[in-house]
Amino acid sequence: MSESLVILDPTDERAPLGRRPASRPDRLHGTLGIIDIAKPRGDIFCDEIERLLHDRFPQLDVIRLQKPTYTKPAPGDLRDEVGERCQAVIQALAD
Amino acid sequence: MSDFPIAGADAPAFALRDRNGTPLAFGDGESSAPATLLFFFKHDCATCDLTAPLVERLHGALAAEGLRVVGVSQDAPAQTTGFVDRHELSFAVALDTALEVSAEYGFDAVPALVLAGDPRQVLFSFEGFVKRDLLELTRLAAQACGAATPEIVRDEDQLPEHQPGCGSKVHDPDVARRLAVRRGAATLGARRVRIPIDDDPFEFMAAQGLDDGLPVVPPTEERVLRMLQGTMRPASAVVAHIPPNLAPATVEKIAVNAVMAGCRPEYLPVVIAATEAACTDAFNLHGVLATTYFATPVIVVNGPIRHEIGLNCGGNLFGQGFRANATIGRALQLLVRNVGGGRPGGVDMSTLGQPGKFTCCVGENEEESGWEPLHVERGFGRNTSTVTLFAGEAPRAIRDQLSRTARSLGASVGLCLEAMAHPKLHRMGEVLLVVSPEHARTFARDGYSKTDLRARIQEVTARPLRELLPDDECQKGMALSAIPRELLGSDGRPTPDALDTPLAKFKRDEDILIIVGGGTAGKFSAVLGGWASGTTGSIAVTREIRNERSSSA
Amino acid sequence: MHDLVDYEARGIPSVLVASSEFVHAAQTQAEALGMPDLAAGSVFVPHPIQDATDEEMRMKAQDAIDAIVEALTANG
Repeated sequence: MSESLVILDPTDERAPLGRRPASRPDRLHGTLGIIDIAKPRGDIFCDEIERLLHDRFPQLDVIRLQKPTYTKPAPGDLRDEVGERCQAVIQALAD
Repeated sequence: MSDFPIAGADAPAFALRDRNGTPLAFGDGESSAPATLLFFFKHDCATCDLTAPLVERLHGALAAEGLRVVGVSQDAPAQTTGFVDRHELSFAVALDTALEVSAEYGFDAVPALVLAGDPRQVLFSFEGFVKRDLLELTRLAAQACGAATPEIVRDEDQLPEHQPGCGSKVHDPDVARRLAVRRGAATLGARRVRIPIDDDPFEFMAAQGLDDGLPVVPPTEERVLRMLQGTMRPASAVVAHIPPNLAPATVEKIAVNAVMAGCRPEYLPVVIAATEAACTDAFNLHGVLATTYFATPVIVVNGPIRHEIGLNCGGNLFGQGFRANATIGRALQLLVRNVGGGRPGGVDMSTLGQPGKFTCCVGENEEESGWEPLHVERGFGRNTSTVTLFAGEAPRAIRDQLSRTARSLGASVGLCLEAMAHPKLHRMGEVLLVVSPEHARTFARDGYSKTDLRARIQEVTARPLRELLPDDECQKGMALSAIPRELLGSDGRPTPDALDTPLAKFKRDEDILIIVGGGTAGKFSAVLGGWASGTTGSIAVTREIRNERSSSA
Repeated sequence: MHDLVDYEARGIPSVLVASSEFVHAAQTQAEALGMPDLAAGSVFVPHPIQDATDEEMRMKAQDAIDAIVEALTANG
């Protein structure tokens, strides 16, 4: 594995540098995607998560997406679909 | 010079691992051995091959008496195994593949043997193979263990009295450099930012807003340490507080931004001096940055450093193609952006900006000038190197290929300067006039001094006040506040007599800063207009570039 | 983790659910990808997975759901 490059911060260091995770909403809304990474038994876990979300957040739209293989990053079209449709993502179940 | 610890010194403790990944430490207080022998070796060293069987014999003779023998290999596991198998070594062998322990012990050659008593005091040490030393080490090891001195050396060995060792791998050029980075990096205080492995470093830095729109060089520890070789000032020293946030600019932060700008280490003292000059009250960088006008720091370099660092003073003076010019000016701009927090759309409110806001740094062509150079006029010795910071507009042309006398050429310069900002704006502040070598020769031929040229500019630009006031034809004109008080009546308006009083373009002759610069062919000069002058505006500032380069640079 | 960094960069809150064997790997990868906080927000369910019964899998989901919702929202 190639090493990632480390640089010295050229700023006054008042603000953080680097990638920041997305800001979180106060509550789940819109469409939530459950992405099954296609490992054995992950589907049962995802089914149960979906059921629990329906129970708790009846207005939440839960959709299921399937990653072709867990061994590689998701293909661009899956990422784009997530980008277009989802307001939140659960990716499961890495083992 | 070797730092190899001699008898009486402390042997540095270490925590390494053996070939199985099992921790193998020395000096952590875990071992109760009365003495420890450290045997540093590398696999492709004949002297190590000569020594290894003797160390093995010593181990065989004194292990039961409490002597702990630890081999320290400078090689990777596979090569280490080759060496261990070849000599059938039965003592523990630690891997020092990173060579940090070897570096700390400071020996120049392998094998290096260190006999340490309890806890870590060195009893004896030597490098290479020296039979007499090996016998002495054996005697001391036995003594420390309270045992009789074993016979380690046999006649049939036919050992030489002395055989030089091989160079410690620590001294391999790229290893030495890597170790120096690792040691030096510890002295750097800036926050470390890890660029994600799937990101292009240039894209990452651009996405983080650290650039000026052009790619920047990633400021790695190694590059920043190399940059710091350009100065003897400590990295943590605060040079200035950079507007608008007035954040402290340490030598290190300046070096980081200089790396990003593409500077070479020998440019760093110029960047430091320019930062100092820019952050003075007189220069008023905050105002220069915040104005909607065109002003930006224009760096003029004088003195011997121009040639030492290859700073262009000649053809294409304000143009591309010269690393020192391009990167010194850029470094200052990046410092304002990254350390000071001044960015376009933020504090930088410039309406149109100008290309010089990427970079603007020029050298005076002192060699083509018949006049005293700028820094000498401003009180510095000719052999002193300086930066002068001027808050200027972009250069614009002064074209005169016909004048054969200084007086005529002076008139051309003046007439061109009159249009600066607006022809009706007179009694203005500082301006930077860049006289080309060909024009400089015309002035020199007639013995025209800078004082003469300034006076000529003022003479040809003088206009009656009435022509300078706002009128129906052109509503722009001199503000009442710019008109001398003695020309104003009790109603605050110009008196009728005053309307005929001629007023020159510049308030004071000395506000016309003059340098010689550019290529030797071309009867063109240039002018860089200023910004608001005086205490509320910006006043040009000259600072010495201290001869502070480290001799090791 | 690559995918999640991409989703986060698109402004979509994401959570990785992994077995407890993945704690270290997730941390290392999130750091290498420049979003160390993402590992802190990951949800880990007890190993093992592959030989768990359906009922055990559903139990793991029930135990994890609170943490998952918390990881995707500001106030949990």
